[in-house]
Amino acid sequence: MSINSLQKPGLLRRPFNLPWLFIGLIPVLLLLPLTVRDYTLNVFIIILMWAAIAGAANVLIGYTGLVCFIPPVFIGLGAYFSTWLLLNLNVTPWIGMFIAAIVTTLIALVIGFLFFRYGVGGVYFALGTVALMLISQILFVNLPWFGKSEGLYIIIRETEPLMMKFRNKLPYYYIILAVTSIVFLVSNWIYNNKPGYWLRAIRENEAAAEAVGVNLMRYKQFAIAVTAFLLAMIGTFWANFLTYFDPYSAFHWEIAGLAIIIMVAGGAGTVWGPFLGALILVPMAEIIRAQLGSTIPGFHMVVYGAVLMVVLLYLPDGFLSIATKGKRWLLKRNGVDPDAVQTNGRNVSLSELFSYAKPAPDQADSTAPATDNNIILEVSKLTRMFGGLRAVDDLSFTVRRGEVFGIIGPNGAGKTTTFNMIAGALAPTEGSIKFRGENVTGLLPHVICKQGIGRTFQVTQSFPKLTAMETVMVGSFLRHPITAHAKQRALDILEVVGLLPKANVLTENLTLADLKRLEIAKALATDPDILLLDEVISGLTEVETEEVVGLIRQINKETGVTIIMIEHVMHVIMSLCDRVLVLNFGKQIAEGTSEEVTSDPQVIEAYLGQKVEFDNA
Amino acid sequence: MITEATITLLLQAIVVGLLTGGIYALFAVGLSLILGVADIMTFVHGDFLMIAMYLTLAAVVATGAEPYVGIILVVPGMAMLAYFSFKYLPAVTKITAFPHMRQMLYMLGFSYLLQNLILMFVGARHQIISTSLTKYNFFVGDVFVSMPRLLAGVVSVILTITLMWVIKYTDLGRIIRAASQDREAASLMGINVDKTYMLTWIIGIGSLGFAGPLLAPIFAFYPIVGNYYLMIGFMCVVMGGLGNIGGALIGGIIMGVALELGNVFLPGSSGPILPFLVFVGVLVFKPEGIFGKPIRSKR
Amino acid sequence: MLKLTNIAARYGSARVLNDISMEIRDQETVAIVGSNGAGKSSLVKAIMGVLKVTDGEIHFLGNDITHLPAHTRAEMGIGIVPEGRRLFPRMTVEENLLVGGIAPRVRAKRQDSLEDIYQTFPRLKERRTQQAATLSGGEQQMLAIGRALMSHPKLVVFDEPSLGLAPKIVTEVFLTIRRISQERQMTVLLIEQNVTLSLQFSSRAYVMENGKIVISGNSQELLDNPHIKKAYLGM
Repeated sequence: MSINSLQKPGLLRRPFNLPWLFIGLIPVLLLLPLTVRDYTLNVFIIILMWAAIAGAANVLIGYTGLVCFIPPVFIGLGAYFSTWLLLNLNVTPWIGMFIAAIVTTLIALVIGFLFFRYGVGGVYFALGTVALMLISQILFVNLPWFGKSEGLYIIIRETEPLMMKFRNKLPYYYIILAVTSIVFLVSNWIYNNKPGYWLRAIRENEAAAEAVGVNLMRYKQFAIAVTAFLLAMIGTFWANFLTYFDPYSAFHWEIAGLAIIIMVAGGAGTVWGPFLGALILVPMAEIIRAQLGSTIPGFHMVVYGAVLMVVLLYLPDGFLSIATKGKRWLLKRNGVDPDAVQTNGRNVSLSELFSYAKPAPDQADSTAPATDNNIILEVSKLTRMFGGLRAVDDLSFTVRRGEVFGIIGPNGAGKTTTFNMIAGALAPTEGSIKFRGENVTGLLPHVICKQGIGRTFQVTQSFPKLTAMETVMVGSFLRHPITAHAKQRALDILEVVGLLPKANVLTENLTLADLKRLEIAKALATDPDILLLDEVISGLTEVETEEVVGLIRQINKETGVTIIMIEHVMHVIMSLCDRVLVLNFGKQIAEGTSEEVTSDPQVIEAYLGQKVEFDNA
Repeated sequence: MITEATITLLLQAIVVGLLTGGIYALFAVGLSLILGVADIMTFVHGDFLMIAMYLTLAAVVATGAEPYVGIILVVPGMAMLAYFSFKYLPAVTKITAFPHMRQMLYMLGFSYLLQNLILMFVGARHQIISTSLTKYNFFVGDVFVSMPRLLAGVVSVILTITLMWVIKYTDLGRIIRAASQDREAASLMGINVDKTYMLTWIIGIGSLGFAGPLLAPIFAFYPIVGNYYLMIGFMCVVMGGLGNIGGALIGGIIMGVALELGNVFLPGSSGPILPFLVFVGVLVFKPEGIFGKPIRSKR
Repeated sequence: MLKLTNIAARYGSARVLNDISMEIRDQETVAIVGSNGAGKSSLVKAIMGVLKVTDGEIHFLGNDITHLPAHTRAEMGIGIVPEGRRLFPRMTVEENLLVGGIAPRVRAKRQDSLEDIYQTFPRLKERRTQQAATLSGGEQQMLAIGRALMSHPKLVVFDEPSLGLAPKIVTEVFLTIRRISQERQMTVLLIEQNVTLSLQFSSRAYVMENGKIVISGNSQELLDNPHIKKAYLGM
């Protein structure tokens, strides 16, 4: 993507990234059904329906990584509510579809609130949704207004287009085609814009996502709401197409499993994956069922099960990855590097990039007395207990705007715990933290990031399946919600940290030194006022260390960002830090310039260790 | 108004619930071991129980004996099945290295495979095995006690307690516990962790060799019955706290009693909703279970 | 007794050990010092078999153990007091010790070993039924040492014994280490970030930096060496 094309970032043009494939498919899909018999038409409808189901579930399960069995619940609720409206109030399904979807979405938000608020995730969430599925089944078998175990019938005597009743199968095809296209477009839009990046960040690493400003709760709710809405709409179609359903077929274990299998086999977490999965698996299953269904019942499900196992073992990224790998192979064969970055970099200066609420850099003067004006961070009597252990004990210090402030101390002294409390990852047991005069004690990490404190992690926390550029974009989306802007900013920051050539490389393939740079880039992208660096130097070679030290110095001088760094490598502290704080056993044992601190006898003792008196036996 | 009939119903529900709960507990204990110790996200535990039940049927058909006698054949059968699946099934061993989600999905596929494979061979018909033990059903006052249920409940509890004893007081148990509490430290102390996992898998599935013959005369079974037991099993395990065997026992009893109370006092067939609601409640408000250690990230 | 030749290892894409060669002779106490990230814990992991080496060989008592799994090395007689103790938290003091002595080689005399440990560490005997996680830091360290000794190891590795302990307790722990290593004529490998202590309690030492060994030699001489001060305090 060249720089020039970024000048007009219209909301409709860039964010869709619609490949010609989709546009080319449309006439095919529109005309195809006219050429086939009724049975084949039925298969097409089933394929499209599963594509839509898998595509909708993909938002919650694939993008956000919240694997669960809730799809049948949403489909069933959509079916039941819209059909109830139809049978009892004569509301046409065209409208009932939306009403049912809205009600289902509200229920989904309540479910999401309960589970996400208390941090239930992973396998526990999956199990919880199985319980919800069974609860739904039992409820609808026993509640009087929904036909109980007999289910609901929709009677079609003659074609009534306004009531979504057709005696001919063809119109249903077009309806589901439209629905599936809507699912595709929604899914595509999400993927290419801020929600998609943030949802995938949540999937890859929640802690890292929080640290760059992602509001976990809000976005998980977004995901479950979108999935619920779309699945409920599909549920209405399903009800009107089948014209009969009951609690057992609606809230069926197999629906959940199939949605997952199709999504995973096609390529979970991608836009096309679920659709490709449906296209390949559904016809295959139908053929098997047609050929062997009478003699060997259930064989098609055996195949589905085997497919899932094989895919997870050997092709975890699904069928789509075959196409992607093929494309890369072709490019390489023609001498093109598939990861090459198209742009040459703009050589933009750092100070241009960082204009968010910052004073001019020359106001940073650490020899001036600390007045209210230039104190950017004030930590008072900060304490954190873990059970009986005082990890941080009554710690107080101030940091001046624009300085480079070091925190050193032996292992276990409480340095990272202090960082975690400043960044919001831990709540202090006692004490307070004031940032730019405002109390930020105990706020959630994403709020603190939004306020202007960015952080890196001691052990690099990355998003393994995102590229370097996508990783930094997660950060830059915080202040630049438009994709094109976020992308440009990400590229600029990558250039500054020296990672531009690797912008399209997957994070899981980066070296340690690259990962460290990426940590800094990701934090920088959120446009912070304070940057917390936790042992960025550890594990780097001499040369790499010099480069990173230079980078940090450049960031501080050119943008005025205040830097607080934890480090063990003393010569780095000496060369970078204006002032240093020394911790031991959670308490402060020295504070001052790096010269003062390194000649302090208490500090020497804490680092080198005490000499022990003993008898030479 | 609390009538005498209500009290009888209540007692009945509690008695049946306790017995049923004991059985759930046996299932849950094996599950808890595999989940908590070997850290294998096994979605197929229910399906292995289903296989055990069908094996019992086969044994009964072949020998004409009581299903309980079938234990002699089914237990070694299940143990062997466990051994071979651990050793040869692609990646039951490999998947311990996978992240949990991938494991779960893999096991899900395996579950579909097993269920439908059995379906192909024996059909979807609900089966139940008859036993002459029903001759010994009796009443305690107004409360009806079914002999097969009594036997199943008592044997289950005995087995569970035996398993608990082994885990707590024998060297084997210590090895298993050490491997579950700190895998790396255990191997540093000379424990072969992979072999320990296999042993845990075999014990967990072997115990189903007891549960199958005990349950087959009480509850109808069919190829996808495994899902139902799996859900209940997971609920017991979560309620009791992962890896906590005693907790799984208590979880089983709570589930059993909740189910029976629901069956008796809730309208229609909505009985099972009670244990599911209890489960969701525990999951949301106390996911570490009633006895477990906190698993939520505490700020 | 233990000999490493040209060991290299990586953690993911990062090289953590580079061409390490060292040896420990019978009844010696050898120390490895270095700041965080120098590669000390990677070296321990490589010796114990937890980290795979990509190059080089490790020999123990003349046997090539380079590709043997961790539990086999433990059974051959390498005992370890791991970094951070790594006790089994919900098992009691006694159970932790019993697990320490679970290898077939020593199981027969396990009761005697247990009594022996209780004699050496009377405080552990007092707390024999207490869960390991509830002990104080110093007591946990004693338990970890006892657990390692239960297997009658030929070589004992102490990995950062001072970690997380108050200075007074650290002194106690080190004096204990010295006492039992003299009484039992143990061969000891000591890894410690507290430079003074590790040099005081060893006869020879290797200094690591960035995955390589930069100096080695007699501990007393190193203690008086100004380079150490430079490496730590940048003066």
